Amino acid sequence: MNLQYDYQYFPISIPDKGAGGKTGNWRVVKPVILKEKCIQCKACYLWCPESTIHIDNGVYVDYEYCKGCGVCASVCPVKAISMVMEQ
Amino acid sequence: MKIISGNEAVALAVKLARVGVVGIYPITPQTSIIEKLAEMKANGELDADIVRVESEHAAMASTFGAAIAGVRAFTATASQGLLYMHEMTWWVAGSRVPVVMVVATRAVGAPWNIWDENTDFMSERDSGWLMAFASNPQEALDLTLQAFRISEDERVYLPMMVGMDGFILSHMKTNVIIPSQDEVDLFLPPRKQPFVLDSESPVGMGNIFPPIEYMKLRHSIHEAILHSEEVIREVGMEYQKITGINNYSTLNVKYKLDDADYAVVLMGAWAGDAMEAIDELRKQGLSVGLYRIRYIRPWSEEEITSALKDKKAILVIDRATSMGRGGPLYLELKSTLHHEQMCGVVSGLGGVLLNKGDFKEIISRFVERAKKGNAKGVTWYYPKGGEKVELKSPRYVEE
Amino acid sequence: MSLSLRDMLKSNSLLSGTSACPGCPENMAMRMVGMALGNDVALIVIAGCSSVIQGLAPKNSYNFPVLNIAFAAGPPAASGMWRAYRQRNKNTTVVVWAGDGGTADIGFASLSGAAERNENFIYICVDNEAYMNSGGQRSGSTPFGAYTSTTPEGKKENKKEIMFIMMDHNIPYLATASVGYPHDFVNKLRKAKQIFGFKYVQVLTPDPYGWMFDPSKTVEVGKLAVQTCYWPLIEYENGKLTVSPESLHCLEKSTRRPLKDFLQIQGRFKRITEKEYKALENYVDSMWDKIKKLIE
Repeated sequence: MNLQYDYQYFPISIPDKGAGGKTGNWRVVKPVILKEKCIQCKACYLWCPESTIHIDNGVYVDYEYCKGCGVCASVCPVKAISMVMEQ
Repeated sequence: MKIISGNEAVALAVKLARVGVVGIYPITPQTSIIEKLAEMKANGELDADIVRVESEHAAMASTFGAAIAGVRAFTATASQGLLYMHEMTWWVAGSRVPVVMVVATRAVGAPWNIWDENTDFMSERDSGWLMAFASNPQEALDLTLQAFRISEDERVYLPMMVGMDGFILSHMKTNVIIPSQDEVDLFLPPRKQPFVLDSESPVGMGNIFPPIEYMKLRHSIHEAILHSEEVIREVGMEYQKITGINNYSTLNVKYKLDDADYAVVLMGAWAGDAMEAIDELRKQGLSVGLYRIRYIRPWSEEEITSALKDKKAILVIDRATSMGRGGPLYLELKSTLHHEQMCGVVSGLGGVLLNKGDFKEIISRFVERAKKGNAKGVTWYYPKGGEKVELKSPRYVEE
Repeated sequence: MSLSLRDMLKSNSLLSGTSACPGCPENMAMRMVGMALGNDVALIVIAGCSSVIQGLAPKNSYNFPVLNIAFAAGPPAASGMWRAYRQRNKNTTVVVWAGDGGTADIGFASLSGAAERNENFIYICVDNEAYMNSGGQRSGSTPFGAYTSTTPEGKKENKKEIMFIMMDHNIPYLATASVGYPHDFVNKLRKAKQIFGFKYVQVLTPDPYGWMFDPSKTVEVGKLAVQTCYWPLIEYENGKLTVSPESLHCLEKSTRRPLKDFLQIQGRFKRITEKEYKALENYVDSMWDKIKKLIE
């Protein structure tokens, strides 16, 4: 991309997190994972619609962007995730 | 040099420019462009991929899809087809991806009329495309070749369309100097574009821009069109070295204009008839000259003002109209020059042919009115006997 | 082709912080596209929810090169794009990502054109059965009896069965999928990637806000649609139609899960009458009769 001419602007974007803003602020409830119950089946990771469940020795939630939709809690086969009211 | 039609000249330009992908859909009078391209592909003369799509909207979309993915792309259309792809022409301009299109102009329905009129082409004025209009098959070829280079210049990065009068230029055969592949390869560097869609370094094109940012993007198009003037002169002067016959160092072309009191402004193939008329009128003592518009966008205020500002009166003849107002060239010129003695004539719609005699008539009438200080307003001109033709269709249908 | 969960664990196609509604099935599907197709993908996104989900420039939630384009222009743009990549000696998989409105209605002619020309790209229709991005107006893909903002008394026509129409184009590959069954969807996409020519995949993406159910239940509804045989999971390859494992029980009427299990959970079917329910059951029956004939 040559930017020599300062009047030239192009309608392009770069892949990045947070294109919709700090979506963690949308939450009313947030998922809390009970590590003792978790069997690491990764169903929550598979279906999370925001890529905010990450796998690292088990699973953890990226609360910066998690919208609190509750899909993870709903698909967990052992009910290791509960949706808890945000303080 | 070969005797070829405007359509064939354009097809040869596409081949010489080493276009990669052509999206095509047939419409009279552009069809022989795509037929010639298909023929050249079939006998191995043309390397381009031809996508035979299902509509003109798709033709522009497929051309654009190839262009944004990094190859030179081209399409052609006319009239209804151009209007049908209107949504996509704006999309391409907004994306800033260089694409070249040729429009063989034709009247727009309803009702059906397949003959020449420039309204379809002029209706794209607001979109952000660069627009040039040829007046003979040589110019059609030359402008198409130059369009690839102009649109891909980093000072521009805008799509460009080249218009030519349907049937009159698209099908008329004249001598055309065809540059060699080597000459064109020297003239046209490999394709450049502001960004490419590549998975190695992904970018997204066209997702939502907030208000101020969107307006700045539109402003950028506006600025790019203004800056394209110098690019066009540069490219034109370089191109002249190849064929050497036409004067491409300016956007628009003067004919016996500098010493004339009265100026006639028009664009397109009928400039030839107008020039013959002017020759004869000058012999009769009328001080009149011609200014042929070749570039509608960019509209060169600089060239136009310097050419026309000292004229006593100006006549603008349009082969198109903005309904209720007048011809587009007339409206554009009026906003540039503010001459009080400027009048517009609308004619040639739906393929109405004007000959040298008609131009003599129009121009002499204009000069008479100008002498009385009355060269104002817009009139519609019908050639001799035309006013007497009655529309036989019923004016109303009884129950 | 069996697919282990390990294979599915790599996907960075969707970057967090999208503008999608919470629980969005289109996002789920986009993540699955990443699991199936990897990184060498170019996306063409036509007007729809996904145009907005990408968020505001200068950022983009999709981790692919994306061409955003007008409604009916997806398939022709893909036709130009894949040829450009071929000329540049690139193997990039071109994917058109279109909603049901852009597929069944406004983009239908260009979809059909690209299929007829056997253009080499994957067309993914994310089907949420209405024009959801503009608030939920009916499309050709909306089912009979469903509430939408332009059919408040329920749609009077049946869902347009685009998959059968596309089969009649004799394309090399066609599949239906649901976000409720990700392995099935990912398998089908991987298969499509290996085939040259026009591939059509229609994935059911149940929209919690348009279909009116709790967003946490998106996956459950995606499963119910298949279990009640409302949405068939099929595959069509080289002229042969096969029913996917998750839909095999639908071939016999006695083993189908009752349709009301699917309808009851959705608010958009709240007001259907007995008669309309019967009509929907008949629609499901006749669709499976058609499928049974086609797999002969």
